[in-house]
Amino acid sequence: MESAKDYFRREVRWRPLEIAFWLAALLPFVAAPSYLSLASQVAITALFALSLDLLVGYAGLVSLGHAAFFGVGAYSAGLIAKHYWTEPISALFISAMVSGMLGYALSHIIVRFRHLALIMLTLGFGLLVHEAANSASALTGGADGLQGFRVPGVLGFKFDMFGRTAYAYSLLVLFVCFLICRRIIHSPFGLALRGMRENATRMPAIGAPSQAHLRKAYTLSAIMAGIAGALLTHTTSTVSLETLSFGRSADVLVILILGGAGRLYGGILGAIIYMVARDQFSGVNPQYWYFWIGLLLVAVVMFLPNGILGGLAKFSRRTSSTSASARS
Amino acid sequence: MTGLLRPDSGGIFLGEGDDAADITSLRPDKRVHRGLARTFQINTLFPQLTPLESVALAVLERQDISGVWWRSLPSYEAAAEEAESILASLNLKDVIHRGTRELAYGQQRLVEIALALATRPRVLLLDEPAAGVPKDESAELFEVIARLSSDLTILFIEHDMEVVFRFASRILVMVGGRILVEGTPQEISRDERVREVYLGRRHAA
Repeated sequence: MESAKDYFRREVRWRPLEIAFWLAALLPFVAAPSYLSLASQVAITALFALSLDLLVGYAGLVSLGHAAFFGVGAYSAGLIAKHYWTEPISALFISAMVSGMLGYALSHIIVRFRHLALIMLTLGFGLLVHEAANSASALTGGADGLQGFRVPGVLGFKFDMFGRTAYAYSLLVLFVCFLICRRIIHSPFGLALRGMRENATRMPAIGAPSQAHLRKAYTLSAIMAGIAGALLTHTTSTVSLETLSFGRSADVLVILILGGAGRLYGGILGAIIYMVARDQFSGVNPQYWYFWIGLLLVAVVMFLPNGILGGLAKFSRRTSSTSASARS
Repeated sequence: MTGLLRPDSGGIFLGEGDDAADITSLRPDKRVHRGLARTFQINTLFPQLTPLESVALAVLERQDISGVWWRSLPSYEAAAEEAESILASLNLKDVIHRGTRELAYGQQRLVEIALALATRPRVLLLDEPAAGVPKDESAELFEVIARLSSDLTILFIEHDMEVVFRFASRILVMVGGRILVEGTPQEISRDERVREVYLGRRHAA
């Protein structure tokens, strides 16, 4: 029997497949240079999905208004670039703080509710922020979005027309945020979040300050979503109202469910599949590409309730246990 | 008593003599930190966590480090080892890495107790600890409970009079939410009103 400390040590160890995955993320630089701007879109969406995974997959909260944080991050970065300075790294931190503060403020209300009320509440807050940005057109540009600025480069590298720098920047930020998320889920707090997901009734009975846990999760998630939004602003030099839209909130939830919630890599895998599918299908038929996404979603939810990654994990467990029994 | 329901009247005090603290208005999780832990009549566990993870979580909550997100779990070896030894003391050593929902019902009842013990309670409230456990297995369960440290006050709710008289040093009989009578097992077994309510029926049958 494996001892308790060995078990926790093994849980945090990097698996070969993980290392292979991050090395593969470098492939677009050499293998598909014409898809680099798509690749940075994927990385940004993956980061957004990763931020939602902290809530949905680990804390067991549902959110239909997560774009509020993405959009607030995007607009913060846009406003800084337009009115103050164009150095992106410091802007990334400030945008993260702005959306984090919004998340912290909202969390005081949100953590008191669960189930349907929680879904409606997050949806409502999402719509509120969207409409606030729409009507404050003097600040945000309203329906036209925020334009008329250009972020020239990052850390001395110029953003080039092929999207090489943009992808390097997005991937690096995604990787750093991923490392933080990975640390979070393997920390005492991460265990407490899984406890909240598994049984919110029991948590107070073992002395857990449940609402404080959820507030913290909400704030951390909002920070990450804000970083993703700011990245989009920096790599595209424009902010559209769409960054705050209900559609974006719904898409990121679909992406996470497709890939598999509660597995860290689920959101990333979901983002790759979703964005590549959108790119390919919308090339074939620009109007009806959502049909295929709908079909994929129905198929995944029906046959792979834990998402594509959950299905793969089950499959690999089954094959490894049959090969183990074949050996013995 | 654990803070889920507001009392209509009266107060709840934890401790002895002058140390007794009024915990009547404390949140449930604060009461746990003061040393009042409970188990549930119906299993209220973490189905997809392992018993080790569940109990380690309770230990970390007690130590107030469950909010730490910047250090990883292997840094807290002592908590892991404590969780392991609590589970071992409840005969759960062989299943610490299994999913809690895969455990036998009786083992899940023990995880209930393990979670409560991990909070290092001064008073442990057991809400029908053997509810739903077959008679022969419940004997083992009560053996384990009887072995628990003697400086721990255990308050258990139980309908099985045999069990009550075997383990209790003080008994409080309640009917319809009100205290009927309080006393030692000897006093209770002699009390006419208790006979009528609980024992009476069996004697009449």
